[in-house]
Amino acid sequence: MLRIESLSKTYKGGKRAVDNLSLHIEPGDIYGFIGHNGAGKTTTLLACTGILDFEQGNIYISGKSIKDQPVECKKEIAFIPDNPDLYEYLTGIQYLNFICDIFEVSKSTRSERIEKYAEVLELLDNLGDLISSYSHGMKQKLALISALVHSPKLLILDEPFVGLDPKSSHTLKQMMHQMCENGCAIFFSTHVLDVAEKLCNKIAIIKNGQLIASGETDEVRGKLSLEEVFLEMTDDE
Amino acid sequence: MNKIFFVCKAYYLSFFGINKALHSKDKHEKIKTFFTLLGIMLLGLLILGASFMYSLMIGTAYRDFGRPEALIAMMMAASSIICLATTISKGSSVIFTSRDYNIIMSLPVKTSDIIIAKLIVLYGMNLVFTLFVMIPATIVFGVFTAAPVVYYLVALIMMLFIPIVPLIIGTILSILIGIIAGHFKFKNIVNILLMLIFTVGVMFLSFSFSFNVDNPEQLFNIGNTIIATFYNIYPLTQMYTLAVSGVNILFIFTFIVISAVFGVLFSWIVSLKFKQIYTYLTSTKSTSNYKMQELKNSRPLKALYIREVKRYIASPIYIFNTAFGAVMLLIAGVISVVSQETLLQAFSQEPMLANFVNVLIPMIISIFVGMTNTTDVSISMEGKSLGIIKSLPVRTADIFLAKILVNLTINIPTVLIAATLFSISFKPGLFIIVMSFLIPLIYSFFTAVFGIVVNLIFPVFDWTNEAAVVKQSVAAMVGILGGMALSILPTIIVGFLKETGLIIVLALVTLATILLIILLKNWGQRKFLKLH
Repeated sequence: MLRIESLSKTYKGGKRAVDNLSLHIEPGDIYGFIGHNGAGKTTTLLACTGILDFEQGNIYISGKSIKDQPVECKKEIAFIPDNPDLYEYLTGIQYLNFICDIFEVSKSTRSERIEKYAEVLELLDNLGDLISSYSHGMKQKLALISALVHSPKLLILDEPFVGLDPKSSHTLKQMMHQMCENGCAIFFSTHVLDVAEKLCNKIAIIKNGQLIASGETDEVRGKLSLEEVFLEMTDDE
Repeated sequence: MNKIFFVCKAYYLSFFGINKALHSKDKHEKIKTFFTLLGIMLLGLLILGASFMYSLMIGTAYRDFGRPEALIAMMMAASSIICLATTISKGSSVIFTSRDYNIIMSLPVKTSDIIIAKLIVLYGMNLVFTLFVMIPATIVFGVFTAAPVVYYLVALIMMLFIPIVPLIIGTILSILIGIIAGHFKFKNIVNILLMLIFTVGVMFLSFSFSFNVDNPEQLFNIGNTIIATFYNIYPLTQMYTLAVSGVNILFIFTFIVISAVFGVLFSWIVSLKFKQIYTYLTSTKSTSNYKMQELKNSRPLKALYIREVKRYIASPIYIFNTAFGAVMLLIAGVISVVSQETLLQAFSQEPMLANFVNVLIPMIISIFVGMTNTTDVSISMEGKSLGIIKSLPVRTADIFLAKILVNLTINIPTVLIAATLFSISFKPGLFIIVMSFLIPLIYSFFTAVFGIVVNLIFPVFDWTNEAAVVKQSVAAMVGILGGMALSILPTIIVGFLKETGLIIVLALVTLATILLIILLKNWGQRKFLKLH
């Protein structure tokens, strides 16, 4: 579903944010991506979504290169950034309708899906309000609905649990499981290691832009907890 | 006092990307900022030179009639009007509705200090305008009257106080507009209308004092009227003029005290109600009773266009700053039809003048089209939401096209109406009529595409208030001034070559537009991908 091959990204000024990173995410995977602040997680996710240009390596989504066929690749992806800076001048429903127009979701399907997800996430009543009146959590929920409404094959999330209330957090985890059962792949970054340990079937750990461990969650952590493994691996000598 | 300095410093460092360039490790970024600042400085010198010539011309006429101090009065009033007019549209945006409100209000800084710091930021912007107008006028008056050194010292100190009162009046009007508009369902539209009424009112007031430099006698009489009128409606003009031209200690002291007291009093009063005003201006009604309805669907390009239109009409300052030229053009068109008889009568007596004016009609419309540029900040206006549009499965060309279409939505109807009105009033002949439609329409495309290119070169996404993008960003300045320059220069060509000039301009602008489109398709798309 998502294949990252030798990805390297150097920012202006020479900072190498991601260094020769390769990763393969298959349908049905819930792939957790963990690392310290500034390790290169968000850069990798942004490159996968086509938001950020990169110099070396390539990223393939369903076999298509994000560099060569960006529009085709993006049709299969949904991305939720860590800080949902949505269009504050639109109402919630206008935003969702805009996303549905762009992803060409049919008229009947969009209403049905929006209603379903908005009800589950308890946002339906607020959809007529301007996004500028939403709290951080409500924006996060709206971003989540906008990601689910076009049934993506690959869901990329940057710190998805930040700002969500416990109930919504629980609902999101259930949804993630459900989506994976239907063949969707999920790639997300998180600092909440407990969540990663319980939720993900695969884990990747990044340090200073380089992948230092990846694979089945059980294999990566061995007999230790994920937190212990992470701290051990990422501690500077 | 220290805290005011620190807050001001934080704001000023964001200007023109100075801080970014200082701390950037990227050489290209530093070089770009260096040349941008150099360009701004050269432009400043150019404006200062033009202002000096203007002061010299008018000052000479006033001196000849024994009223040199009228120059000081006139320029003081003019700079006050500029401050007032520009603050009406951006005052509340800079002081109250900045995105940094939560951060700044959580700091251990007194609210009155925050207000003072924000007023100083606004003051700094207005002071630049004031100095551009007042320095040349002060020198011209000083030379003409052989004024002593103390005059220059007094004038230099006094001119620093000129923007304070107009700035505060402008901010009060800006707050009032926000509060009045808040009572209406379509508050943005009411907001824009009120801003337009106030600003056009201020401009008409100043235009009504315009003069004919070719007729010194008329200038003298109008000069007296100007002085008397400004002395009446804005007493500080009289106080300033008498204080500076006569180095009058009492007036110097009174002027400074009035300005300072006004500033401190305003900061104190606003600081008492700052949170309430902020809440009032920024709060949005939420009904929380949405019921699922049938949704309309659109094709992706139409959806992008609708989103762009909604983004545009959601920002009164964006509309006000970019559609002002179009409004002025339409007003000019209506006035030309209303005063058609007088125009035609004047033209029948001066056929040469008629030919000259008629041939310039397509270019005059084009200058206003060049001023109406929404695209030069349209990418910057994405702000921190840029990632959304970049992550969507749409072609970059369609993103550009949606932004261009918004500009065309304003300019094309304006051109069609204005060209029709001017054709009716001036009756310029078939060739000029055709050109009056054709050239401005091509200019509409050129302006829109040019704006996108400019914004791709000078993007800014980390802004805290919309005024920072729409009014103070390099892209906005280059877009508007560049657009105007690229229509004024061809106007000079047309002035010399008449009808042939129009054909040359049409060919050149069409070619330039095609080249810019090719540039956008290649370099532009690559550049957009690199933005973050």
